[in-house]
Amino acid sequence: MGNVKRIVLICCYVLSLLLLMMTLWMKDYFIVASLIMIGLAIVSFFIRFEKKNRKVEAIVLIAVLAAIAAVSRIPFASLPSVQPTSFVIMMSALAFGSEVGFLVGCLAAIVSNMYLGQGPWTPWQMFSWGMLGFTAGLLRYRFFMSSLWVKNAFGFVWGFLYGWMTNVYFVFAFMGAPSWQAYVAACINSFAFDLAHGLSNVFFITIFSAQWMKMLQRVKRKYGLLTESDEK
Amino acid sequence: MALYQIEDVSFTYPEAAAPVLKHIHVQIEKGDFMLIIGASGCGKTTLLHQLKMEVRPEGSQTGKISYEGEALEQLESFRSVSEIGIVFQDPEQQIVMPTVWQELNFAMENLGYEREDIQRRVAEIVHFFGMESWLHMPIQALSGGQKQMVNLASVLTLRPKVLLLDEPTAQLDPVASQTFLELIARIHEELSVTIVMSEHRLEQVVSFATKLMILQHGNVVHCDTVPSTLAFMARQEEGVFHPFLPSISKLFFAKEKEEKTLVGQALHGIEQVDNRRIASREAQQHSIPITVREGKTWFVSKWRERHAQKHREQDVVSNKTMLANKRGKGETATEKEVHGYVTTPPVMLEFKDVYFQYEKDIPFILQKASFHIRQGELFTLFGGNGCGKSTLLKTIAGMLKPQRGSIYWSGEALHRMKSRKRQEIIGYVGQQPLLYFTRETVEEQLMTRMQQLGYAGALHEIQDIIELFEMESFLKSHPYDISGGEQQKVVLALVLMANPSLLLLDEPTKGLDPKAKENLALLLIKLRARGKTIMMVSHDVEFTARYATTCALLFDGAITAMSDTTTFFSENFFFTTAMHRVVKEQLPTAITVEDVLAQWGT
Amino acid sequence: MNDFKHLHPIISFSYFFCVILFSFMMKHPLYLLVICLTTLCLHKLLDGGKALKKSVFYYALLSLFVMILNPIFSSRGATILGYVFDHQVTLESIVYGVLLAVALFNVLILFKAYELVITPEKFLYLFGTMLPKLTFMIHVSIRFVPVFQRRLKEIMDIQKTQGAFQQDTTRRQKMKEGMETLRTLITWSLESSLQTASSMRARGYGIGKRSSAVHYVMDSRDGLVGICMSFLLVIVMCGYVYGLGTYDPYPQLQPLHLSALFLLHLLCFCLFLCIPIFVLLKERLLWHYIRSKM
Repeated sequence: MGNVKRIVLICCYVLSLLLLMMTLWMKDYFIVASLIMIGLAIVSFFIRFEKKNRKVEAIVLIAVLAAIAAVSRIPFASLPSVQPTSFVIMMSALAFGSEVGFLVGCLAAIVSNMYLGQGPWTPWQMFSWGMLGFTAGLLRYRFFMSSLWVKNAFGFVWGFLYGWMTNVYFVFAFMGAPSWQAYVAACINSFAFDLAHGLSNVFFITIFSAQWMKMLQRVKRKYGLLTESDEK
Repeated sequence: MALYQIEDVSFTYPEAAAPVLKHIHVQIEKGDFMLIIGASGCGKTTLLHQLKMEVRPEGSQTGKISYEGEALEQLESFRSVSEIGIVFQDPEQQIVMPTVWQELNFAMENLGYEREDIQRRVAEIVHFFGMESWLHMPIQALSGGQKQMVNLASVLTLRPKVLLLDEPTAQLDPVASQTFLELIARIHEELSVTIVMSEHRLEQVVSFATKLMILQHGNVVHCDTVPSTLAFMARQEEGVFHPFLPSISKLFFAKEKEEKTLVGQALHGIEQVDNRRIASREAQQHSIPITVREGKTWFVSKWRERHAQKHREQDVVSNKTMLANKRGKGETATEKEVHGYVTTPPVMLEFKDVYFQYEKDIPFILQKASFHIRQGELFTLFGGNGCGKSTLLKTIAGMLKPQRGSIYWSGEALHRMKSRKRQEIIGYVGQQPLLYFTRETVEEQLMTRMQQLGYAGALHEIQDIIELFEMESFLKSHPYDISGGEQQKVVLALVLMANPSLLLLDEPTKGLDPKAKENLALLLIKLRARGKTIMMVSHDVEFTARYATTCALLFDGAITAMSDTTTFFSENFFFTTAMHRVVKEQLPTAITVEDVLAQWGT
Repeated sequence: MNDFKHLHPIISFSYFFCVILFSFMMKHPLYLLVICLTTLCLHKLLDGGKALKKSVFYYALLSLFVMILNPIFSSRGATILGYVFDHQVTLESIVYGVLLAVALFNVLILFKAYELVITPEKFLYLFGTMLPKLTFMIHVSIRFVPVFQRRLKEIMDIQKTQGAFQQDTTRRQKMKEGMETLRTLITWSLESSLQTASSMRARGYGIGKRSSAVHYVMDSRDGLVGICMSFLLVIVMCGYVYGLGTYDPYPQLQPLHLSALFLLHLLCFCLFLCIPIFVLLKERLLWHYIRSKM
């Protein structure tokens, strides 16, 4: 009975959301529509996190990983195009699961922007890094994810996906009608950055993923988090 | 009723073969100031963590701990959190919130206190600690000592009945740790909070403590009042607990022992007298000198007693001539060296008129700083907090570039050298050993370093270093799982693998227990015997007095008072060893216990 | 002095929320201009424009990019100016590009002003009641960022003495060394954070519902500002529903109609935007006044 009720509720929720999106879309409020979409996606994760009771260690772990991801650019100061944040988020997700991955990604965006400057890009950055963590965490126990090639491909693709997602704010907000040419132009403009991002991901994964996994596994054991995240 | 009743408690970590704590039986009374001492890895921290449910580590525990008559496990969590407070070793890592004010609120917020209540308690604590001026500062703007005070204050907002302190001053400099310990003493005296504290440096705290517990390999070896435990420590064979004794007590017991053997030899067989001797010794247990004032009273009376009969005047004369001799010839320096040089060795490092500032608009931190070090010396640089000691070390190591002046290594200007060559000459060991570790085992770490240095090959090539540092026992361990002293050894090994001629050490004795310090000293002696020149920056007066050859003070950006160790300490008034302060009027050139014992006989 | 910062966070947050929303919605040249001017003024009053100066060049560049991009990709509009590589360039698309650029610039400088007024602490206070665990986690993260920055510097210093970070190495080597630094940091920090967790638990984190010592009291001034703001907001929104404040250059450029109703609406819009400036100026005047009386 409870299940039926829940399904009905979820259907109502989705339907009303779709209706809202449709009207906003029709009236050309793309920016509002996309913001609401992203906002809901992020908030639903947050609410799920709020509801669960977690070990203190897990909370500290996420906070620390997010802070590390946020400062990870510093040792690469001499290499402007290298972006290690994604690698850190991906490794955290592979070691600790999708939820931790999402939160680390999201928080890394918020925290690093508190130092680098918030802007209209913040929600999109939160969303794309969050999703990077989330998907990496979801796929971590699939057999293909254990292969280095697949991991590399995953990192490479996400280099571009990240760039494309963060370009969205730019296009939707300021290009008036969502002209696809403009979006493509923005993506072409950022191509070099995205390629560098993807390639540095591949480099890091090839050389460092095994070491990092070992190290994070040790942390997991020490934090006493093994059972909790291995249930999933 | 005792506050804590610990009965037959043993504890084993998961995946560990042997228990860390073995059948501990201790009782802690209300109002006690219990000090726990022991070498690192003896179970001090584990024992402290057993006394509060929230911080108890994973593992299997047997036995029973009761708190105010209740089993600790059954204690309601609100009570457990608020009545038992704990402060850990690392000042940085315990702080959770970004500003001091938020951190002070943190504990009370967790327990759901009302806003008014929180405000009052914070106001009280801030007043008690005198930290009004930094209440709204971000945590990163505070010094280590201030951070540790914030931790203490945050715990005290819950008004605990007992404070557990796990080596709270190990990461602090002497001035900050003195302030912190005095605060603890005040809390004990004025608020009558029971204190249980583990600590290496007895000198600073033992006068506040009411009880002293010695742990060794997870056993309580002795636990009693301070004089009784000190006497117990002195009775043990050399080298076990002896290094833990404050130097003044060390002298006292050494003298006692000497007299006892003398008396024993003279009055061999006469039981009566011997018994009386023992009785008087028992009485003396209550007057074991610990502080400089007590030490001085005792020493002066002993000195008079000893020299009452014979050559009262000659003494003064001979002492004066002795001082003159030593200063004139500078023979103390060679005396102290294990491998003394007959001729003066060549000057290796020359630091000439160096100026340095971090940013353009702030004052120079080094101003016309000059000194030189000869080959095989162990040079120690002292100085207050933030006076630029570490900065000076970093300019030699090449991490910072001086604005003016030059640094020469055996005549060659360091700043004109290729950085690779410079790294071959200079080995730098920073304060934090953990900065050096990236691998899963010590062995792997050593191998990585070897590859980095371009030696291809197997482990046996560095066998020499492993033997020198006695590292076999923890080669397969994770660098984070070994003790602080062992970590430091690994770092020294990593640095020495490049075979540098000059070794720079930034506060090498920080956080080490007395035993580890002695091991370090032995290592440094061995290295000097191999012709290495060592320069260290330190706060540790006692260590330096025993092992350094030359000392200097960095003050106001320049080097002052550079001289051999004995002269340096015997001419200082504030900045000298406790031993020297006790004996300086009678024995003006004695700065260590060994010096006093050697000179007293003459 | 900076008393806009001392208003209740809800008031200042709503102000920025509304104005940022306005700059998305109201693409009328005059309205955009008003937003731009008031925000610049606000920057001047808040910190003398120091914070803005650092990034204004970058913002202008980004806006310029948008301005050029629009006529290149959009060929809508009736007034054809000419052809570039078979692409028709219209007057409307150029005007629209300019409007977009100004709107973007406005949003960027608004965010900068927002950062000056709404500190992370205030932001977390606003959302702390809704998402307490998450905001707490963000606090911990913010606490650790400066710690990690310092640690990274220390680690890199040490690595330099061991032969890393040379000028003349390859890119590959540099990336490797950077990763090694990061690895040292992450191992060290995660390991030592166990103590953070212990210290949190020791002080009762997680045993019950947390209370909060942070409290911003709504005073009479907040109330007054709030009432003025909502009153003006209602007027502005009503006008917007009737098409005031919007301007579409497509399909053909139209002259700006300056009716009485439009001017009234613009005035209200101006007043709304100037609220923080009024607050700041009033404090400043008051301060001088009190000083002169003394």
